[in-house]
Amino acid sequence: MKRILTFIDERFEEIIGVIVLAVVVSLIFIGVMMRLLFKSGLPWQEELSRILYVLVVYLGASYGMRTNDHIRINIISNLLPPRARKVLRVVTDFIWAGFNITVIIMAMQVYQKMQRFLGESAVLKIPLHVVFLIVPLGFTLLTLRLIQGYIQGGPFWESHTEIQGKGDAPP
Amino acid sequence: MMIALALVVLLLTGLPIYVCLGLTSLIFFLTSGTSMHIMIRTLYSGVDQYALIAVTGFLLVASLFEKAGITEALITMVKRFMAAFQSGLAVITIVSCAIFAAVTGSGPATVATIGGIMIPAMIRAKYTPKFAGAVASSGGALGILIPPSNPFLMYGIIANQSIAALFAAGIVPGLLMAVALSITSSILLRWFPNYSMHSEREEKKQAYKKMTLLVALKAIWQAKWALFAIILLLGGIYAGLFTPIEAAEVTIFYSLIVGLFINRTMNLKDVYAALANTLRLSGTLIILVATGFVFARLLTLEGIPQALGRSIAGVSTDPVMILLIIMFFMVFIGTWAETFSQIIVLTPIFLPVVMKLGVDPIHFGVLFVVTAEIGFLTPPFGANLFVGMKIADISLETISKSVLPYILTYLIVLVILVLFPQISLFLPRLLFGQ
Repeated sequence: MKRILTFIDERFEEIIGVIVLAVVVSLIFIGVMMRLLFKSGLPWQEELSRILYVLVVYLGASYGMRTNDHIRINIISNLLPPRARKVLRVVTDFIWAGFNITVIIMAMQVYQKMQRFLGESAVLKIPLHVVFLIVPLGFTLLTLRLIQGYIQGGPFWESHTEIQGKGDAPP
Repeated sequence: MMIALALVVLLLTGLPIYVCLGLTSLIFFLTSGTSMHIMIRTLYSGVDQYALIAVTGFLLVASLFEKAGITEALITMVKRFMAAFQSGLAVITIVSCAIFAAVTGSGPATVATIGGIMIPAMIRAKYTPKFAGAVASSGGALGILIPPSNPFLMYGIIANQSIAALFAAGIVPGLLMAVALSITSSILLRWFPNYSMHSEREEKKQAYKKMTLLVALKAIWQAKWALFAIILLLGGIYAGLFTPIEAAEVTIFYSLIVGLFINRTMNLKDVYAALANTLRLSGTLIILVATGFVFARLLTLEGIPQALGRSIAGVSTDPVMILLIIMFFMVFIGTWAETFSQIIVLTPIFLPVVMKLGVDPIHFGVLFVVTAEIGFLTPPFGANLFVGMKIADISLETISKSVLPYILTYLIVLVILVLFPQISLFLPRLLFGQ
C-alpha cells in the first residue's frame, strides 16, 4: 500500500505520461507504415492519437511542476532580496491556484452542458464530454502538485535561480 | 491597451506564462460578459491539433539522436570536409549547426548538441571561450530556420498555413544565414587575432594535408546514419511519402533502430529518459498553446489587429516600411519573450495587418522566425545564450557582448529578407506552385 502511495506521489504523471506518449508516437508511425506498405491507413489512428496527445500535454504540464519547469519571466523576482522574492512567489502561487480552480469549476459546468448534447468523436464514437474531462483532470493535478510543494516543506524557489525556466527549454 | 497592460503586469510578477495568458483573457471575458464556455472548450481544442504532436516529436528526435551517436559522427564528417576548404573550427561549428538543423527543430537543442562537442574543441584549440560560446550560440539559432522547425510548425498552426511550404521557405534563407555567419566569424578572427591564440594557418595546413578522396569517402561513410536521416526526413516530406507531422515519428523510429540495434549506444533506460524529458518539456510548453488560443480569441473579439492596422497605416503606407517597423517591434519583443508565446500572441495581431498590405503569409512566417532567432541570442531571455554560456563556462554578460557581431549579422540578413521576398518564396513556389 505504501509503495503504491509513493508511486502516485513521485512518479504518477511521469510513468503514465511516458506510456501514453510512446503510444501516440507508435500510433502515428504504424499509421504511416500501414499506408506505405498496405496502401490503407488506420481510420481511427489520427483521432485516437490526438485525444491521447491532449492527455500527454496535461500530464506533462503536471510533471513539470515537480521540476519547476513552467516557463515564466523572473526578471523582477531576481532583482528582489530573498525575503521579498519568497513573498512574491507565495502571492503568485495563490493567484495561480485561484486561476486553476476557476478553470476546474468552469470546466465542470461545461462538462455538464456537453453531457446533454451527447456529441461523439467521428470514428471511434467516444463521447466528447468524457474526453473533455482531461482538462479539469489536468488542472486538478496541476493544482494538487502546487499545494503538495508547500506541504512537503516549502516549494522549490531556493533551487530556482535561473532567469527563465531552464536553459534547455525548447523550442 | 488595457489588455496589453494587464498582460505585461502579470508577466512581470513571475506567474507562469500560461496563467498570465489565461488570467488576462478570463478577466476581460468576464467584464465584457462573453460566455466563458468557448474559452474553456478552447483549453481542449487548442491542444487537440495533429500538428502539435510533431513539435513534441522533434523534441524527442533531438534527445534520441544524441544518445544514438548520430550527431557525433556528423560533426566528424563536417570537420574533415571543411578542412579541405581550409576553414577553421568556427566555420566548422556553423556548418555543423546548419546540417544538424536539418534533423532538429529546436535552437537550444542545436547549441547543446553541436556546442557540446565544438565549444570544448574550440577552447582546446586555444580559441577564447567567449568567442567559442558566441559562435555555437549563433549557429544554433539556425536550428529553427532550416527545416524541420518547431516555430514554423507553431506558426503554421496559428496562421493556418501549409507546414510543408513553410519548411521549404526556410531552406534558402537558412543557407544564406549560415554563409553570413561564417563570413562574420572569419572577419572577426582576422580583426581580433587574440580571439584565437592558436595560429589558424598552421591548423589549416595540417588539416589540409590529410584530405584525400579516400578520407572524404570514409568520412561520409562514418556519418551515413546522420546523412540518411536528413534524406529520409526531408526527402520523405517533399516526395509526399509522409506529412511533416508524420516525419517526426518516422525519424524517432529510425533513431531507435540505429541507437538500439546498429550503433548499440543506447539502451531502453535511455529511451525512457528521453521520453520523460520530452514529456516534461512539451507539457510545460504546449500548455501555453491552450491558453494562448484563448488569448488570441480575446484579441480578435476586441478588434486589436484592426485598430493596430489603422494606426500603422497612419505612420506609413509603404509595405516595406511597415514591414520593417513591425520587424523592429518583433525583434524588441523577441528579446523579452519566449519564442512560442511570441508566436501565439503576435501572429493573430500582425498577420491580418501585413496580409492587407499584400505580404505573403509564408514570407511573413520566415521573417517571424528570423526575429525569433535574434531573440534566442539576446538577454534577458536568450535560450541559446543560456546553453552556450553553460558549456563555455562564462557569464551571461560576457557571452551577450561577444555575440553582438552575430546579432548584427542576423539583423542585416533580416533586412535583406524583407527587401527580397523571393529568397523565401522561391522554393515553396517551385515545389507547390503557389
